[in-house]
Amino acid sequence: MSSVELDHITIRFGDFVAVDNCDLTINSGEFFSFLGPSGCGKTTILRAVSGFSEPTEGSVRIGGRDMRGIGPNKRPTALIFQNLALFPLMSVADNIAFGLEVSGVNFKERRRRADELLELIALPRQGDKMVSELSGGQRQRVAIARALAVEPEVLLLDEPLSALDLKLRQHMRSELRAIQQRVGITFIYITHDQGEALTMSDRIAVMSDGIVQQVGNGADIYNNPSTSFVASFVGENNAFQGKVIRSEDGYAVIETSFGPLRGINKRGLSEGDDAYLFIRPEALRPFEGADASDDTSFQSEILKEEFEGSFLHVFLRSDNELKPVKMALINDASIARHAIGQNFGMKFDPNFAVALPVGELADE
Amino acid sequence: MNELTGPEITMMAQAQITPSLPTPSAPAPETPTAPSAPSNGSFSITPSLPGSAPTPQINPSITPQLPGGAPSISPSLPGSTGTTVQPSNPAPEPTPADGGIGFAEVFIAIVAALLVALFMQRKAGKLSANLSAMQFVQRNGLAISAYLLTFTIGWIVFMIILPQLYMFDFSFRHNLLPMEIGGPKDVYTLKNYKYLMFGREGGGEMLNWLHLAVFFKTIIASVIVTIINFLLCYPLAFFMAQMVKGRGQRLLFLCLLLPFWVNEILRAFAFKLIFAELGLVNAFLIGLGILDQPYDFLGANVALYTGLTYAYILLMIFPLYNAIESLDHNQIEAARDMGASWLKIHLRIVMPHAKPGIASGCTMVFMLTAGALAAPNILGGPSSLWFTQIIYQWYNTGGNWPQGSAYAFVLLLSCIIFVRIMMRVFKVGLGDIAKR
Repeated sequence: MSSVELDHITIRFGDFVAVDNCDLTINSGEFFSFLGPSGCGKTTILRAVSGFSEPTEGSVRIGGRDMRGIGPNKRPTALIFQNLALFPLMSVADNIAFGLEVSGVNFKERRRRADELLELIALPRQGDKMVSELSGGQRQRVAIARALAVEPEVLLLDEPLSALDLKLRQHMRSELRAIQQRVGITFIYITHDQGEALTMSDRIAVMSDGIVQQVGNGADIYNNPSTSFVASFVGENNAFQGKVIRSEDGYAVIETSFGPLRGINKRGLSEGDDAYLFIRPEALRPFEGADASDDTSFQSEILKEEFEGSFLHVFLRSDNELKPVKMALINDASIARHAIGQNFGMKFDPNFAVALPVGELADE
Repeated sequence: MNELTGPEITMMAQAQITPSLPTPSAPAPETPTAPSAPSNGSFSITPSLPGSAPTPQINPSITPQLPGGAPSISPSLPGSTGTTVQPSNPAPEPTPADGGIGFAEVFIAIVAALLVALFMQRKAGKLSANLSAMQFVQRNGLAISAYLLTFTIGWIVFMIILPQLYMFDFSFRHNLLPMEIGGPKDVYTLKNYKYLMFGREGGGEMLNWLHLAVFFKTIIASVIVTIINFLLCYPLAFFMAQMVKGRGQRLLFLCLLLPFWVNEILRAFAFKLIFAELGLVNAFLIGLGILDQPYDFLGANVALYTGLTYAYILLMIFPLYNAIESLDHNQIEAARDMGASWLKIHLRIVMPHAKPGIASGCTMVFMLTAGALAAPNILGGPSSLWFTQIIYQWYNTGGNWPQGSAYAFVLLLSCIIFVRIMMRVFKVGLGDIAKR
């Protein structure tokens, strides 16, 4: 068990900055996730921790030991690849025991360890099978066992669930979490899937364009996003753009195309600032007596509706005729589907609305 | 088209058998022309080929021997000795004269029968095969289908099966004068093979050590050349397949290919110049003070082995490159992450994955090295002899084609057996190799 310290890491490829001054500490025994869209630099960080690349600036410390110049085969880490990279020409047991084999452990001991780990991943007596005979989920678990066999202090996982179908992915989430709690070592998990990050992690770092936007536990990141990117990337959210007209008692009132709207002001916005107000779908409810001058309700004409299972997307007419505002609503019984062209009123609790400085939004 | 190949093969088999017929020495009436014909071995091939079109241009006197031509001459034969053959019945009756061995005929007949049986079985066993044949014609049109099939089958029959069978048949014959061919002396014999093993009859030696030694030396040297080739090419192929990408890779390929735009013989001469007494290598080593006087690289066969190694380097690199290139780079990284050293990664991950490519490259290089002629001829030292050079001598200066055929056949068969044993040892299937 070891903590991992990323001490002001910057990684450049030529002129391209893949990771920009990332400075954080991952605690010993923690399940820590890097969450971000593809190309945000999260895999680059993982490779720097595993030793396949070196940071251009700054250093990686594992258990307090500087890892500069130490190759991936000498680091106390084990990496699980996105495509798992199991060895197809070896049996399951040989795969699991490969790390022991190359470090000179004898056959009997290897076999014993492999059987032990097969037990741990709930695949007992499957050691003689070939990898190709296993299902996707079973391969997943073999990859985990193979990584655990070398008894790493830190296990690194590079989107290992992305190749699985939805149901299996959801099942593997809880299984991964359970394995982590059983072995008790540090897990660093890379994903673009917020569901994975939120369900499994102790803490999450949300990344965008090489910059760590926010670090915190799942609830923190969901309820108190600190940048517009985090607010729009994690979970469904509705963004209203405008200028701050008032700032009072920890709230900011923003003049949007639907009139003034109020939200919590944690970033110290002051009058005249460009800002976004983010309102979660679950904080919005239909309201007949909506009034444009009231700063906790609004109304507009529905131009289009899209039904998406748990969410209902409505497109509302705004100042800009060409660009309707897309809103996500919880598809519960209280929201009956509305006819196109109807006027539509909504009310929200300003304590669940967040005002943030204008910045990058996650792509739709 | 399948039906066509069956009869073709049987026809061919018949043709092979015909010469052993005690046909009343056909060229006899034209004896005056026979001596004027070139007496080298090459002449003797033509008579026994049934459909060889160019033969009439060379010497019209042969035509009577063709099965179809036989009836027309036979009446004019004055005193035909031996068994009489009905002119109207050209069907071959294998009646070997004076105790000649008939087993080559039997062998060929069996092979032909097997091939016919194979085709019959294919046809009978798989109705769907017929269906797919029809689909093939429908898809490609009649003209293109006929073109494709004619050339594919033509290739297989005329370029692969017939020459090999012909050489095989030839290796069991006596080296006869042209006029004796088809005559009573034209019988099958094992003497050509016996010669390779035991030398001249009554030669005093137990075994034909001279030629056997050359044979084994050729095989062993080919193995060594193959191993050196592999050791040289593996790192290069790995580097090109897994380490460089894009421009660098293209440049490397070009560097590999460029020298092979030069003719093989010229390349061999280039090596001769490089390794000559006053050549580049000697000048360099003397210049560095490593040698006092020029070393005879040619005499020590250094030039020969270098030239042989270089000659087929591409046939090693490309199968290796293809095999290694298909390996997921993550596997290498995973092994490395697991703590494996570079040696372990290659032994346990890369080489097992590349095994079919390694087998393919080694097979090609071994076969071609064992059968090389230009490099040994040009670069070989005075004491060295490659087995192919002996074959060449039998054919060319020795004028003994049957003897040469026997030697060539032994070399071919030994190489195939050796390769198959190696494949068995390393557990590689024939299909794996063909894929590369």
